[in-house]
Amino acid sequence: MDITFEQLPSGVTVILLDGRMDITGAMKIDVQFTAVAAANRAVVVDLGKVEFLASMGLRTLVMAAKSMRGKSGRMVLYRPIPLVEEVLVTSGISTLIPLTHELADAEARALE
Amino acid sequence: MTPQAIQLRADFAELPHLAEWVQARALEFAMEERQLYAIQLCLEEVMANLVMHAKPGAGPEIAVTVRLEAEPLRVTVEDDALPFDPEAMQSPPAATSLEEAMPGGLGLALVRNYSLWRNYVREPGRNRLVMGFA
Repeated sequence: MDITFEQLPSGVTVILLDGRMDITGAMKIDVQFTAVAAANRAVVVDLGKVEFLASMGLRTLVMAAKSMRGKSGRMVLYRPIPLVEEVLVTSGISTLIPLTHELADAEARALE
Repeated sequence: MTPQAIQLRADFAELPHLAEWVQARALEFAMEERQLYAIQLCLEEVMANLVMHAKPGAGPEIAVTVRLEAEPLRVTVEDDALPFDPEAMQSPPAATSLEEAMPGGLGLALVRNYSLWRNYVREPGRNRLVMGFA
């Protein structure tokens, strides 16, 4: 599991995740993910290259989104593959953290 | 089709190996992409639960056997820990806001959603959980 970051002209920070977000993957990126989310007010998490997501990965997303919300920040989930989106919907996480497949929409919602 | 089995320790370090083992059998068991995902997801959650909650001495000294069988497609997890019925564990109620969301407790709810049926039995000296997949 790899993690990279990109700053968009709008001021939104994109966190790109790549790989299997299973227990091993989530543990590998958790500290860095949480730190970057906490340091930014508007974050879009690009899940397009995440091929697998399980509960430990959900935990990483929820913990970071929670801490951002505490500082009036916003996290938006962007373009998960259908199998990963199904996990986000089934677990109810997509009702807590907004999810979209359009980058412009993701940026707008992160900046709300 | 011959059932296939793998022996593991209840240790997070074993999980990538287990996921690869299932992946390598996807073709032989004619698993569709979603079935492969569901089996890997349920195994990861059940194994994580064993590592974190099984007694005594939660951790690598617990021996686990995972078996894959077809017609119907099902996965058996056997371990030699103390009696532990994951089916009896309560899932926390679904959070309605990020503020009240409690991280964790999502794993077994996912298992209930991604497996078609589950059957837990305690046998002398071991737990056996069978999960069926559509």
